[in-house]
Amino acid sequence: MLKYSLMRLARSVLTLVILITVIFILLRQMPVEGYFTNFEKMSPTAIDVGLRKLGLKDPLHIQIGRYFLKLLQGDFGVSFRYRVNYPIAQLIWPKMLVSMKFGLTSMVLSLPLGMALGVLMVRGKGRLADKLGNAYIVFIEAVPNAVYFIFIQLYGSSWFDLSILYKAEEWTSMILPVISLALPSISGYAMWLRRYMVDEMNKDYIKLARAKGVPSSAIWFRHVFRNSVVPMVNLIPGSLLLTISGSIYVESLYSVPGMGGLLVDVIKRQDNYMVLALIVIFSSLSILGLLLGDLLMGVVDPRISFAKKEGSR
Amino acid sequence: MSSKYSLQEKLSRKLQNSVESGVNASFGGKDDLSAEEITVLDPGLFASAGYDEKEAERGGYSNYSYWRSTVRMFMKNRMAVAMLATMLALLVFTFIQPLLPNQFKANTVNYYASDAVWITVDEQAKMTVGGVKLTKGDYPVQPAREELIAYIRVPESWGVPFVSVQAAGQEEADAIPLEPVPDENNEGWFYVVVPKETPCMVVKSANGEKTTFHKAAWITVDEATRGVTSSTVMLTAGPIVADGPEGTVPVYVQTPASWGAPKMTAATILRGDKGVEVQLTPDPANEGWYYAFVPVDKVMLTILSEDGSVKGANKGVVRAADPTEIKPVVGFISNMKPDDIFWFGTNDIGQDLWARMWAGTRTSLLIGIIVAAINAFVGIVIGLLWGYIRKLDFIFTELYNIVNNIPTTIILILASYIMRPSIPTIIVAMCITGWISLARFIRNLVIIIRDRDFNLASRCLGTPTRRIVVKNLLPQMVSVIMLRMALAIPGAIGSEVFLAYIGLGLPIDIPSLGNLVNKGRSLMMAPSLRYQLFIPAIILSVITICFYLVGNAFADAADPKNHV
Repeated sequence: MLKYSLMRLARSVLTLVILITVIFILLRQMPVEGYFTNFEKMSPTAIDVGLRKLGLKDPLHIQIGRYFLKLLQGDFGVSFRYRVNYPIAQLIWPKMLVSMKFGLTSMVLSLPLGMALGVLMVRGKGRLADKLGNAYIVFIEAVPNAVYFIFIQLYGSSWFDLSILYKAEEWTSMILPVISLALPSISGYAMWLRRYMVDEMNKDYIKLARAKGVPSSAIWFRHVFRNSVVPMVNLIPGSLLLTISGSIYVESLYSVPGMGGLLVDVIKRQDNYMVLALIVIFSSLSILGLLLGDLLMGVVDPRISFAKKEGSR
Repeated sequence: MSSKYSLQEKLSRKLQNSVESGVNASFGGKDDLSAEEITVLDPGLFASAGYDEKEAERGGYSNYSYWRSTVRMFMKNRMAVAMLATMLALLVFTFIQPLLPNQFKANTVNYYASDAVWITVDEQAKMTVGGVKLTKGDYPVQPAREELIAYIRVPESWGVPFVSVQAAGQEEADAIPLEPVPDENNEGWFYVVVPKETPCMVVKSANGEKTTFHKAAWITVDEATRGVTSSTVMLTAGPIVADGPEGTVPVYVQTPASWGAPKMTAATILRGDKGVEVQLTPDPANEGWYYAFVPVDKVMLTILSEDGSVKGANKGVVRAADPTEIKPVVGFISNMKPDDIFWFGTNDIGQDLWARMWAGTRTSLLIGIIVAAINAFVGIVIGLLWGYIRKLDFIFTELYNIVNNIPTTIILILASYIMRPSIPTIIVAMCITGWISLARFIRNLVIIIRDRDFNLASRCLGTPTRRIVVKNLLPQMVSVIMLRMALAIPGAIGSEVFLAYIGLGLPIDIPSLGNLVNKGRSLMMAPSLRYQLFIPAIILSVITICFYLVGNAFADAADPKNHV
């Protein structure tokens, strides 16, 4: 298992290096005027000096090399547009905490609720609970979430007299954003759990167990549920880690000072090192999330082993 | 030299011997085929039998047809059929909408007509003045330069109204009566021609009981929003309070009960003017109302509660100075609520939302369908290669890891930097990386199916790879591919909404659902303008839900496992 994990990590590092290089090159294609606020009024010399100061005049490979060297020392560099000359790590850290607070709260809420809904739907397959649950899932999956997020904010705040914007000192102002975040993930968990459980239920060993006279509750929880949860477990570390990245819609609607719109914002402002730092963080988290998910699956389900050659299961 | 065997017997003996011994056995001498006999033989006997594609594929004699069963299964799902009908109707309607009569263009800015006004009087005798060109034909008469056509509509119970006009500030007794003429082109409307020097109008019902005349300003303060609504209708139960001093206008005020006795200050429109306090007197005739006489030049009113802690927030909405005049409204027909001319209302610069709605639906569907088609095509081709050809697996997997982590925003910004923001830009930007998830999905499926027994058999029989891919692999995946396609369309529409939301969408002169929803969102804090959010949001949801359900139902129907 250790060897397998190390191998995968090594490959991820390679991927990460290529990814950073590609994005580095892409970012250099951005127009020059994006680096200055008052480009029209600047003389060519001033532009030249400005670009030199940002280190954009050096050959590309030297720029990339310099960046990697700094990254290896754990230094993300400084922001040069978002907040001038402010260390990126210090800029991002508090935002991450805010986004995590929202993400984790909504996950704590949505995981049990989504699973409960999924189980409820399978138990009452074809009946009212299933139909209602399906209608909910279809609605959430089909309608772009911008639309219902707006309505939640609009009517949630007026009907229940909640604050329309997030205020750090008022915990009630977290209710609406957390609900907005939880609704789509509840539907996701319920949908997948229902699908896996239906698949599991139709398997032969369940029929055997039933024929043998195993009590229904034991079949449901010892066999069907436990086996169906395995593929879901795979997703949990990933979504847990990616709570850091926040949600663009929710955070901008409630003006939460989180990570949500940060990436879009810094790309628009051409704050290249901020963009790179965010991409390094997000992609390492998603790679790590996948790896942890696979390992966790091995822990939960003893039949899955990574020690052997891949694909042998 | 002759043999005891005939030619036919020789042949079958030779064949039998050859098969048994495995070599081209020779019988030597007379029993073998002679050279002459070989030339006589039909060469057709030695040609290979040929490969009949149809016969080879025939799996029996059932009349099962995949597509027919799929359609039959689909038809069983009533809900999906209804959705499909809705979807098709919507699709067809978006294209015939511009051809219908009385349509506005999506990007045309509508102005008020300047030589006519439309006045509607409702059951509460409230008079509203609009300025939209509503007449179906031409104007009944051509107004002279100093004249104005006034169209009037009163509740049916009023009968033919009495209309009189007067100059501003004149007594009602001096009013000049006019004869309202029913307008042939617009049922229920009367018109009169008003000289511009007498722009104040009184409309009375046929029996003279109901009057609408602007003389006092009526102001209501709403408890929740503290917003101030004002109207200029004669509403009082008793007679209007005694005439005030010269140069004042009577103003009636109603505030929430919790406010106590309200206070009011009146100021001029100059900025920074603190204003003077005006004495409010409870009106005996109308319970809950207070009245005051406000100087004509001080029309910016602020209404405070008794303790001064809350106040009516909308300063200056009350144009108390002379509310009686009927003037054609000039400028854009902005933020008009849905009515019988603008079916979905207008936006802030007077564009017809009904036309924009359908133009936007067209744009969004176009983007959705093109993006889904391109992504499906590229995704399927690459996914098949990726899954079937082992050597490509590593390259594509690394490519996937990288491309999947590049944020779409970067690509979009670069794309909009290279090209102008337009529909092709959006499509290109969504397609550059959009195919990769479908390709990955197909690849996983191919890997599952690739080494199944029937494929091994095909390979052993020497079926070409292309044929295995097209005939053995693809049909297995039709249902999932259809599902992904159907979901890709609402997905692309959703990403268009997202792009508009983060400010990278289409320019405002190309209406799209994303633009419209986003525009509506920016107005959501004004309750009276929320129709601009609701209408596009509802249409967007209907379209995406239809596609989603139809796609799901079709995928179920296309799965051969369900064709029993």
